[in-house]
Amino acid sequence: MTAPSARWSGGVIALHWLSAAGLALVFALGLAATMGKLDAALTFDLYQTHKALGWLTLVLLAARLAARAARPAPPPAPSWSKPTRWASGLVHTALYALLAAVPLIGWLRVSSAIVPIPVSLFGLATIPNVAPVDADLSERMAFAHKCGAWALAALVALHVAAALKHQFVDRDAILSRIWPRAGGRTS
Amino acid sequence: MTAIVAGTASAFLLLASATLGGDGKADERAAWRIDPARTHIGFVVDAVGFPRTQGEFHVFNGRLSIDFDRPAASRVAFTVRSDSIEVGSSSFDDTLRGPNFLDAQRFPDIRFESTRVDKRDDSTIDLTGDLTLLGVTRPLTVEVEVKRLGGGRLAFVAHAHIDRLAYGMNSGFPIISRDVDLTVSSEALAG
Repeated sequence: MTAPSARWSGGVIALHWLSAAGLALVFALGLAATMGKLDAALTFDLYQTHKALGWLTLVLLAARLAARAARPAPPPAPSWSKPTRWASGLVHTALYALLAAVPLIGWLRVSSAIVPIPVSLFGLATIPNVAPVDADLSERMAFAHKCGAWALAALVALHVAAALKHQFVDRDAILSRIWPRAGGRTS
Repeated sequence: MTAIVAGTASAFLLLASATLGGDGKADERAAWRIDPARTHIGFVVDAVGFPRTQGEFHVFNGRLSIDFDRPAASRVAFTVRSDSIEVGSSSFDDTLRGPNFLDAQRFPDIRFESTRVDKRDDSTIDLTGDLTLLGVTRPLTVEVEVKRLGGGRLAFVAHAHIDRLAYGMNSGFPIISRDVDLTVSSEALAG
């Protein structure tokens, strides 16, 4: 068993788990809204909440990238092979890319929608639309948003599965770097 | 005989007179009082990829003049407050009140004024009039069923199809249907 050489900073850890919670919620809301099984009023509210939370995930991502840039990332676990390091880097890069792309595409979809309803941040602020009305563009963005969301969900599942494998199979304690209650297990 | 009545939802008095005028049992009654608690102005709109939207307008009033001897000469003027629309979500309500749909700030009222009454049978009339929505006036025919409940009460159910594009309400078309189904149900009391 190899202990990680360092933990992520407190800011990155907090923002990681906030993002995870926000992402789970925004995905569930989007899924419920698009299933078409609920009444119109509830569906409308789910969409609006989905849009607001989706926009907040963008803010969380920007803050996390800033927090990450402020302090060097922990080095890869010494026990990791090169393919493992390469796969980990690829998955994390793809996660960051989709965390940015999916809400941005959603924002474009909402902005160009045939009835563009701006994102309201729970009545505290209104996020402006970023494109003129364009029904074709909006439909293409809706499709891309959906594909991106499922791709992101698949990557998150892979990310979680890999973390569990490292924790319980490889026992390299890599999870403790990002686990908020792991204490100060650094080396 | 002509009576003028003003009050909440009293427009349906006309419908009673037009329908019952033929059997001679209600002719002597000059006025009917609408029961606001039993009056509902509802609408339904379909959309692609979004559930059917159903809602109601809660603030309305009407004026009517009734000629019991000549029901066809009766008149209805009915006004609904645009901003009284409710669909069960305050943010959805605000969207529907906004410039994309009812534009309630610029056009606070939706008005209907009858121009013609045609008796179809003993329980149904066709009420033709002008509907003004978003400042645009177009003819509209409303089918009204009338049922006598006993105890001096009448029940009305009126149906109309509104082509919102005809009034310049184009937002969301064709994803949101151009057809708005309107149903007004009410009960009126004699006297």
